[in-house]
Amino acid sequence: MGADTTSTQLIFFIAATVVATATAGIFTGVVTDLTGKASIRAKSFGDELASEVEIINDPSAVVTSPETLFYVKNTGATTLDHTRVTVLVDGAIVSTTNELMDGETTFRPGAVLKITYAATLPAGDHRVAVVMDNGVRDEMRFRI
Amino acid sequence: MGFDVTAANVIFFVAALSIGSVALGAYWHNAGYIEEAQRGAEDRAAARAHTNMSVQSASYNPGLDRFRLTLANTGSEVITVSGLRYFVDGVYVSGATIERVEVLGAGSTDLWLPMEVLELDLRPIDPSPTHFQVVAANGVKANWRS
Repeated sequence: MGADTTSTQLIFFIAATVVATATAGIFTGVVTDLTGKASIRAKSFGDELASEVEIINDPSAVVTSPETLFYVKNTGATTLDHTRVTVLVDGAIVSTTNELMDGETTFRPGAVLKITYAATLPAGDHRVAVVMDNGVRDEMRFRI
Repeated sequence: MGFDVTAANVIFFVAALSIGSVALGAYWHNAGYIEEAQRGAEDRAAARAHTNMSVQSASYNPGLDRFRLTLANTGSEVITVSGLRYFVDGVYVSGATIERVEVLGAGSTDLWLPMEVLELDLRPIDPSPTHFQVVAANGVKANWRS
């Protein structure tokens, strides 16, 4: 076996090693990226499963004057962000002010959030929906 | 088969092992997290299904301006007394308005066991209430209307 053959084999060896390393690196990177994204999605889904809220108003006696008050209880197992709540009254998003009750500082499990909608609702059937930041929601129908 | 092919195979094998361990580790971690959250959600749903309360009587004493209620735990779940929330005529009642909450015959306790009766005094409440609602920690409600 001459020097030319050895050189050729060495070149093939180096080329094969470089190509294999590059390909393996790309696959590893792709799989690592996918598993990272899957972990984020799984955490989000798990948090959603662990989160629950309940509108606890008495549907037969909702305070609607001079402003409408809704009370939401955290009945799940996670602390929620009470500053990022979307409230829909009769299907329309409304602007509200939110305040934690009973001296609570976070919307932890068991805590109650008072939502004030600065408007008086007319007599009749109504529907309120509260949607938390992570998509967890509750809805209540009531009559005035 | 030369060294080049063998080297490539070794590299692919090591990469496959590494990818497999990363993917499998992430799968088990994520599956465990979701399973735990799902189990928690099922436990809460079961507890709610077994929680039930009923208002047995409600009376307003205008002289004392006191609203006394007796409630029965008619479910099979233990209810936390400190977790109860009250609404009188649609208004959230808290703090000093709750004069007394007592599980009858149980002394000083925070646990309201099935079949036990809870007595609640609210004051000042004016005028005589027409609606009352109690909410357990898990969101189960019981209502009373005059």
